[in-house]
Amino acid sequence: MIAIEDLHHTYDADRPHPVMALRGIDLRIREGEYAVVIGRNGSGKSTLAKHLNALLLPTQGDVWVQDMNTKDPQHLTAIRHMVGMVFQVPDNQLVATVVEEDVAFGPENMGLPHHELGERVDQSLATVGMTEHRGRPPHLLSAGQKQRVAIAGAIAMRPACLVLDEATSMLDPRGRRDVLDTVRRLHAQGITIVTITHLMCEAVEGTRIIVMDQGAVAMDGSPHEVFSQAGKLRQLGLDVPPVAQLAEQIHRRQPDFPESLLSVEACAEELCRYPPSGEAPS
Amino acid sequence: MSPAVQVKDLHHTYLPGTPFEAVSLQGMNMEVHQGEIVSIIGPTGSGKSTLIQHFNGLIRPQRGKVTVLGQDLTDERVDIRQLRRQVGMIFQSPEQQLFEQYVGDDIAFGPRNFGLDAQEVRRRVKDAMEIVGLDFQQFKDRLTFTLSGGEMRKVAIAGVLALKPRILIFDEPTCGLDPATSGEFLSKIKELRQSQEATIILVSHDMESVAQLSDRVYVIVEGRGVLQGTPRQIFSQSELLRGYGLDCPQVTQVMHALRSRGRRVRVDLLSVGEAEAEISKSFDLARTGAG
Repeated sequence: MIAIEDLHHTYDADRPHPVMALRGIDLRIREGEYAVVIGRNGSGKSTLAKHLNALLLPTQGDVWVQDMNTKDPQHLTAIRHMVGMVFQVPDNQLVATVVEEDVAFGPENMGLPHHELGERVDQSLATVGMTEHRGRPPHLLSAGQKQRVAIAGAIAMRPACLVLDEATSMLDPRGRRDVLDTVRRLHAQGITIVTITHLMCEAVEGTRIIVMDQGAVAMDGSPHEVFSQAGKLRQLGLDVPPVAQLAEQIHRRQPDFPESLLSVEACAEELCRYPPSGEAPS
Repeated sequence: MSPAVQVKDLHHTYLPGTPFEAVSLQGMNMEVHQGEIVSIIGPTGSGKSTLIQHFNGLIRPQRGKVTVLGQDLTDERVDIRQLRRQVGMIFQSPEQQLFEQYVGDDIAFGPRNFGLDAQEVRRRVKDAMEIVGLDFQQFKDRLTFTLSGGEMRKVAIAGVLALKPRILIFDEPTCGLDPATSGEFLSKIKELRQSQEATIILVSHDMESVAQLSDRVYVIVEGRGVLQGTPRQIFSQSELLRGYGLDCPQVTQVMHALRSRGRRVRVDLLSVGEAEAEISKSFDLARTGAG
């Protein structure tokens, strides 16, 4: 889906203080993947994300979206249609005065016939669970709802891939749950997902974790592979979710207990396989 | 000792009497004692920001009463300038509030503005930088725009600390920070209470840091306080919190999940260590029921 080859990006390359944000990244994002990018502040996560739909262009190396090089200006529109982007601050992404008009903004600019436009808006709003709010002005919505409208606007373009850059970090717990549920649903529908987050308990949602450090990929693997290396993650300014720490400590006491558990439900389930203390064996 | 902050039956409506009228606070009550760390949690739009903006006089009480460090803010004659020196407010993403070219000048801005002499300003800047962990010699002449996000945040906080406020208010202190930096910040906030004898008020959506840091928590929903208590008391009520659109720290969620599977375990546990101790006590881990 997306191929990143020897990607470098240097900000202010011609100034006295150039900043090397990316220093040689090789990655392939496969179709249908749910990739989560984590890494300490300043590790290059957002710079990487902005290369995925040509918001930034490599200062060295290449990024290919379905075999289209992002440096080639004639592919720009096709690439932007293919890879949608949702950012941290919902207010900065909404442009219209009514929710459904906001969602229609992108596809309308593609010049779609009226009936198809309506169909896409309906479907996108239904997917993010915002149909009942379609006639409301966006500024009267909660932050989580606004973020779901931003996602609806992005998916109305029928992208093959959706990139979310810290899209939940300003939301309250319910807003966060709702956005995560929406993303999970989109992934189940076959959309490739790339998210960036600082919240380790959200990172475990992915099928693949990419850890960035100093502009390079430091770790790359399944959530279980990555989150079983607590020591290494801490060296990189990260951590494992509290539930994984708990599982690890129980495992140390009782080696039968799985060493790496990433969700509250999985942890409770595994624990309930043990009898309460003080009961006679059956 | 009088409370640092006292709020009695506080109401606030934005744009009253217009078609855009929006009720934000409707009968809020709270009390923060000197030296306490108190968190305010609540869903988006519940009135948290409106509430804390009363504490340094950014918003004046429309109805009800706010008393801060013994000063009644309904009284028109209150010296707001003096109040802002005593109540430091650190907004979300404070790194966006830096405006001077050099780190030292940015931190010195407040004290200079309050007319302190050069020597005192320098001493305050130095002290404030030490508290947030920025080396004075190394950082005072750095250009602010070359700093990392975490460093910028430290500079912004040092700028507030340089005024030696008695109350510090943090709005989402760890939002957008990586786990290591965010952990570092939480312990800094805890230290401030000790070293500065400051009273600390936090607004946060991050239940892990609320649980870790607070002496007491207020839950605010639709402009009213609906729950208050210690983090243990608050986070034992998982159902209620979820109903309000909130949540518990992750290990507390594990305890609640065990309870809902019929296990008799304590649910008022907040840290990995506490949860592990309770689990070892209530489960016969030596015996693999797993079989």
